[in-house]
Amino acid sequence: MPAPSTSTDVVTGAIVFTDLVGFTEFTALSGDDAALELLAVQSRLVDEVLPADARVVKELGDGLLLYFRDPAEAVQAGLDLQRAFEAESESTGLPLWIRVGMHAGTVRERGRDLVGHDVNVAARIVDVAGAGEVLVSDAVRRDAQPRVPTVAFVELGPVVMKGIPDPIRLWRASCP
Amino acid sequence: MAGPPTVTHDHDASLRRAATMGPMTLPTPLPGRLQLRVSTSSGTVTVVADERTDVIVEEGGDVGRSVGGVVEVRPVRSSSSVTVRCPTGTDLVAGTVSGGVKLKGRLGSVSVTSSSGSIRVGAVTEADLRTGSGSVRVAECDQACRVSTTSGTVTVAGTGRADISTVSGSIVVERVNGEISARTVSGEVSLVTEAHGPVKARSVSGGIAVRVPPGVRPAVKVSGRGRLVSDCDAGDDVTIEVTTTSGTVEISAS
Repeated sequence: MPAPSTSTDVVTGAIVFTDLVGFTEFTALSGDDAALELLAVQSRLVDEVLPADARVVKELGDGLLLYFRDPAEAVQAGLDLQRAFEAESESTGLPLWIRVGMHAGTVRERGRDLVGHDVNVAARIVDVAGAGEVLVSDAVRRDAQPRVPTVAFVELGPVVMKGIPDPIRLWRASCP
Repeated sequence: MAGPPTVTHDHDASLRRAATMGPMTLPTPLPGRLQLRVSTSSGTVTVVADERTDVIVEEGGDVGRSVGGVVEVRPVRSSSSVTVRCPTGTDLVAGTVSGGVKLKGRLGSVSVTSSSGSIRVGAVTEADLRTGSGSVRVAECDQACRVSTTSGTVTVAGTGRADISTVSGSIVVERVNGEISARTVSGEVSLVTEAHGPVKARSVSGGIAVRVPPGVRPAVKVSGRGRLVSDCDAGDDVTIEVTTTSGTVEISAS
């Protein structure tokens, strides 16, 4: 077993979590082969949408942890992902419903992984998102909004999240 | 028309109330529309809107901030249940981790988030309601009603528009005036539309039932492997688009 990396470089940017809604139920109903097919479609769509300086940090079963240097690119990619998943779902009948949550801040790089409070906040944000939604923290919204003028941000208000001391102000991003 | 609502903040009274947990009234004039922000962790949030011009924190909360038209009420302890009375039409943002949220009377635009608490809503102008395992029940929503749960059931008695998603919870919308989108993986979906807007319903295994007014001839499009049962004549009065992997789709006149 390789020794764990001791690298702890500090990086800033947007931390994005995605979650394939109902994957567990779909697998139980449709079987492992169908589940693998769903994940393969997800991988293809993410590869198509991700900009050059973003990366998949790791796969989390049916979800993904993504990193973007630029929060505006993260917002745009989140919405592009929703559009791509919706179109694929319409054409294949597969329940490709994802939810996306993101936060911007400073995190530590541990090997290829990212750790830190801002990662935890982003993980909590995706839990609040419904199927087909992109939810962003106020940190993402403030940074991205001037540079994504076609994106509408609707405030959900300060949201209380388990394990996070203060309520986090969240916004729903959408393309009108 | 009544003037802007007033909020009283008496520091000494606040200190006394902290000891006795009695009600607190806040009398600072607020410009324009009032937005109330109430949060707690495991306690219940109860907000009662009635014909009044002030805001009263009746139980378990303290005013953390009051800026412009925004009044923030925080729990005395994370387990405190918080009860607040406010003017009819007040906008509200409420959040809990595991506590339930009960909204009584008529509120304005409402946003509620909870990890596992149930949400009960009386009458609102519009709503954005989210919970993980808690159930959601809405009596009346004038405009858009957006609800998201993981396993909780969703029941909406009446709304202008609806956008509802769950994973394993069932969805019941007893009356919708406009557009409706409902999505569940394994829960059942039951929708009653007044046929003034398109209906889009998606499930993996749950059955989907849509009822339209008598005489309405819907244009029904079914995708996936679901089986369609309909007792309505086909037409183009309203679009009903249904996708299901294995559920039964039932279209009928109400």
